[in-house]
Amino acid sequence: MKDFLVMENITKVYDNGVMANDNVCFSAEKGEIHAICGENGAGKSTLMKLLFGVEQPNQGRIIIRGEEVKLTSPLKAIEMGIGMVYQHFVLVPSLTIAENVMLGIEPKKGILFDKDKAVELTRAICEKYNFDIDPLAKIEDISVGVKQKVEIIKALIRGAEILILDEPTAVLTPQETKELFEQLKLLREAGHTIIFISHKLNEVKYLCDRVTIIRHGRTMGTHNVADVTEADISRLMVGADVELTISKTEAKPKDAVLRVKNLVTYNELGKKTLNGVSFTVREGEILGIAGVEGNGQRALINMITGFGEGGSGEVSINGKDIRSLNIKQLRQEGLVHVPEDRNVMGVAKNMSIRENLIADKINLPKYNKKLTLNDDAIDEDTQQWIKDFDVVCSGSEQPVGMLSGGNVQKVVVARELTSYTKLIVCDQPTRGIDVGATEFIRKRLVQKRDEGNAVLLVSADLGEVMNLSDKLIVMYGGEIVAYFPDVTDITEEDLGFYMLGIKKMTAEEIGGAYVE
Amino acid sequence: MTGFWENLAGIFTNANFYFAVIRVTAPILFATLGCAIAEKAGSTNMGMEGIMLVSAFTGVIASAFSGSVWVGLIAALIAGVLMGLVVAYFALKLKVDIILVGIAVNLIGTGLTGFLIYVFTGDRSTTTSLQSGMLPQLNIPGLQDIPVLGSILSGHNILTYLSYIMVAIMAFLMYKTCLGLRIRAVGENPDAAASVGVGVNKTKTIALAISGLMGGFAGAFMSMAYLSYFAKGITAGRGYIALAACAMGSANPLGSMLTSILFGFFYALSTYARTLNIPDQLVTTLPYLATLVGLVIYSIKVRQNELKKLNTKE
Amino acid sequence: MLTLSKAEKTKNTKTIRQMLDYNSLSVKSKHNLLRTAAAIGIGLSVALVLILLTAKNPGQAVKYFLAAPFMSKAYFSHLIEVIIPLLFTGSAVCIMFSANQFNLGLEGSFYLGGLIAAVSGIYLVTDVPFISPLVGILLGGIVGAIITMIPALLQYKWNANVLVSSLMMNYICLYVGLFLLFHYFKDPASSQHSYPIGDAAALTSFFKGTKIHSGIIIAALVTVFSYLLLYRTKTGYSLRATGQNPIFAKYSGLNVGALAVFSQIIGGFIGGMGGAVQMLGLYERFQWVDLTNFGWDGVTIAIFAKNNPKYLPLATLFIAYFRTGAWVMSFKAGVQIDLVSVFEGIMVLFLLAERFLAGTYKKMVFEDADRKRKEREALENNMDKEGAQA
Repeated sequence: MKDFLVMENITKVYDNGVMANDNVCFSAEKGEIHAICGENGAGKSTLMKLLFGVEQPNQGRIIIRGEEVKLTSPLKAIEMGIGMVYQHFVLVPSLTIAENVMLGIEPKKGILFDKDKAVELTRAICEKYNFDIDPLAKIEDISVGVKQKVEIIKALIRGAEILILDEPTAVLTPQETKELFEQLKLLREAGHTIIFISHKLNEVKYLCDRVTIIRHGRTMGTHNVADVTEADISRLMVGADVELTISKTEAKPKDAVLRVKNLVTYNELGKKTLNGVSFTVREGEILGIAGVEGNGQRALINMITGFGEGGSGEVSINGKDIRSLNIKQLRQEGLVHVPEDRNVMGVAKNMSIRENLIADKINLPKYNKKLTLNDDAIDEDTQQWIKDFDVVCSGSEQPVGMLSGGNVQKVVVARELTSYTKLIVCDQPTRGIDVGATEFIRKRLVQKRDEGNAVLLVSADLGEVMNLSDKLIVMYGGEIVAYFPDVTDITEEDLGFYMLGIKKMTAEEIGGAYVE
Repeated sequence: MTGFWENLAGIFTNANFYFAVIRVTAPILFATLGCAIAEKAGSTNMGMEGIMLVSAFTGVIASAFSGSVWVGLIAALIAGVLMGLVVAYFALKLKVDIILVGIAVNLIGTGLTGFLIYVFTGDRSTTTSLQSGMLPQLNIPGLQDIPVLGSILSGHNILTYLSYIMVAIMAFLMYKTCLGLRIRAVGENPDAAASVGVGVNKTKTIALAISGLMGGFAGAFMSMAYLSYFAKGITAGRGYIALAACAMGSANPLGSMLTSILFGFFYALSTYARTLNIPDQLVTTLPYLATLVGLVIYSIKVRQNELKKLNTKE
Repeated sequence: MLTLSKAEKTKNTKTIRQMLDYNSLSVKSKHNLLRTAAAIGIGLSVALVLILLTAKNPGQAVKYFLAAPFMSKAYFSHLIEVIIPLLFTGSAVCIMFSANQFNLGLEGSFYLGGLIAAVSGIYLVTDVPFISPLVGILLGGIVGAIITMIPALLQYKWNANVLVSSLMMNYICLYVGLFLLFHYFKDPASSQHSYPIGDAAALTSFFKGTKIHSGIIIAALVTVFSYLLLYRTKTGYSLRATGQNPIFAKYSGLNVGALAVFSQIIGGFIGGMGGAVQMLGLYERFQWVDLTNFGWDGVTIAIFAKNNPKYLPLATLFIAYFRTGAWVMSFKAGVQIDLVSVFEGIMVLFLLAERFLAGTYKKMVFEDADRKRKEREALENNMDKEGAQA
């Protein structure tokens, strides 16, 4: 059936003014696996949230089986035969698979939960779609791959004909991935429509029938997968945002500040997150790390900034091993850190701007008299920083939580950059903030570089890493897959190939990132 | 010291002691089960003490004015449920921290009952002047004739029996019914429950109402079975003990029963302390100390399990 | 025609925005004020209705409830007397809650603090003016600190629920205290009183015929200390940061676990001091055979003061005022003093309910935004005019 699902001229603007979808058109047929590809923040997730009723579009129509529908809630979407498998599973650990599957639509015997019936129904649907799982196993005892199957069964038993899978292979082992693909093919044969969101182009190429590419909230067209190469998709996907170029002089790097050697880490599920990463960042240079999120950047940043545990390998600042230092000691070594999520880690929302600005400096003699804080000194400096970093606020006593995102980020950056700095670690320093603040922050980072600091910049924004970095590495699957000692002549296209795992440099080339 | 061990042996071979253990456990057991069902739904019912007080008082008043102890019991239960709903309203609808709601409810419960005693009786601390009833005791035919066992198990108040039956009922509710399934799901992962259309607040409200109902039984026991009147502060911290017993019993009905009995055991023992020539206050300290130690052991075990998981998967 | 350059216009809009943002701050605080007023209003209404319904002479009862402290010196002195312990436990809870630690062991701290102070005054340093009470109070503080420290450490080390373990600690304190009282310190001539505390160990009364004692000065000092600690020192800053966002605190380089324990030790110390002061200020013999309830009062007071010791004088005055009223009413007009707990509990619930009057808040925000839009338009119009004239 053609045009089984149509999303027409969809526009979605969030309350904070971000236009996540701009006149997007998307359609899927019955019995196809349809990939949606796009960079982080391109608007894929928003589009799927609209389809699953989590968010509502400002403009546009959603048409299913030829009828326009209003998807006001996930329940409504489920009723319309849409099922969603989130990347982070929503399952109850102490309950059995059957109980999780039947939650909310429990088979009843009087007021009793009919366990046998639940198991029977679960088993029946597993057999129908050839899922090999034990309905009586508890969620807490099963592997990630099986959990994902449970999520799919949850959708199917509620009559889902359209199944959305959000980066389903990100958490799976290669074997589990293979198994998943076989099952998805069976589902396709059974007439289900599968929407497959992914960055992994080889998987898209292997599994999907058609692909729709989204970039910066707009569709870049729908293609038959057979007609396009991975390189074609990559080219359409990857592109720098609005040109916002900071002019900077050539870097004059000196001694090495940060050294990372053979770093290997595991996550709490025992999956390898970093696999032998080595690189150096020197005084007076910015090393950028490009890569699709979830390829080891988080683990790497954690290991450098004192939030990581376990693993093996070396991390040193100015030749000093920092693996055993706590965060206070790290900061004394000159490490500052602009964290990925400002609201979770970067600020205490209910505290004032002043108090947030002083957080890491509270123990400095300068800001303390004998027993009490030296308010005059704190006031003087924080006022100055608010001015220097152009924080738009009503005064230094205003709670940070009342500021706009860009100004909150300026507070974070102001605090970090006004500390004693040798190594500046920036994780998505301009995510989700306005152009003015973005430009401001980027300029500051370059300025700090020129003052002789080492800067490590992790960003999903390609324009940002390409513009700011003096050197660039690309991470894929927990490894460094490319190292560019000179950023000037890289193209986005090239970068895309490495980011999406299509290409990989030789060990020798990558080895250049680490200098003794 | 030989005298101590002989006396202790004397207590432990005395059927009355076991009878007392069963009896004093009952109100704690009701309250612990109440805390457990709320905890299973992810809500800590800190207000159990206040709920028990209000129920105990309402029961006595209703019983005295209707002349029927059963009306009193029903009234106590209704009061308990209503108080549970008050906790739910402030915690879930108005989004107040549920611990602080509980503390406020205890404050109100203490104050309201203390205030109303005088209004209804003219007495400042008890309702002894009112003719309120006692719930009946049951002599179980057959059982009561069995030597020793009969004198331990027979002749208890009807609510005492119900409290132990309630363990089974609660276990049934939590693990065999749809509601129980939803309660456990909501408590463990509200997102999972919400994603399949299970109303999180609705389910929690029901759990808190049931928790209030248990508080109602516990309160009714205090004023219409344990004693025959209401006195200021009659619950004497049993609501807090229940909270601890529930935490140590990991919010399971069976675990709740075991920890409640632990309390009952030491509580009963403390009344025999004089014959042991050891200070009764120190014996009274034992259940609290035992709970503290139990809680720590329980926490260490939970920790170890977590670590084990991390390591085996690595 | 002359118009402002784009840059100038942006600059102007920015200053306008800054000017207007300043006003918008107040919507939230205005709403907070409204909520507080409403909470007090509801509490007071419930109390008054209960009085009117039950008192034999409602007019008189209401009069005492609302105005007793002004009616005699004795009543006023009672008000001050009530304030003293509340300042201690209120300060203690402010400190612990600021660090977001739900330690409820203050009942135990207060009780044993009182006992130890009495013991010190009976046996240890009985007759040295100034030194005797000082030793008693310090010992009380130390014991109090140990009481709250135990659950704190159990949580720090093994993640044992501090709420539950601190509740258990309260009862352990009570029964251990009773044991000590009845087996070691009880005067055989009395049923439940200890031997008398040395005269020199007692806190001196200020005014003849009242019970206002020098403990009020200590209480005031402790309150000031708590405020300075929380808001004027790096330690206090670190405690509050830990309470507000522990991840942020850790990221900033603070030792979150140690701070959590520290806040509870300080809280317990102040609670224990409170017990000691209460004992040495008001009693000649130790005679507490039950927990005092001042620990729970501390929670109520801290909620009223929004965990900031700065507001403690106001909060304790407010609570003490009505407690005095209720106390007088209880023996003058036969309305039980317990009424005041209902009054306090209801106010606590509504004070904490952020969603309470949420609809009004939305309306206020909208009206404010609307007003601001109009002001901005007016300002911009003016500027355009000025620009045109220039």
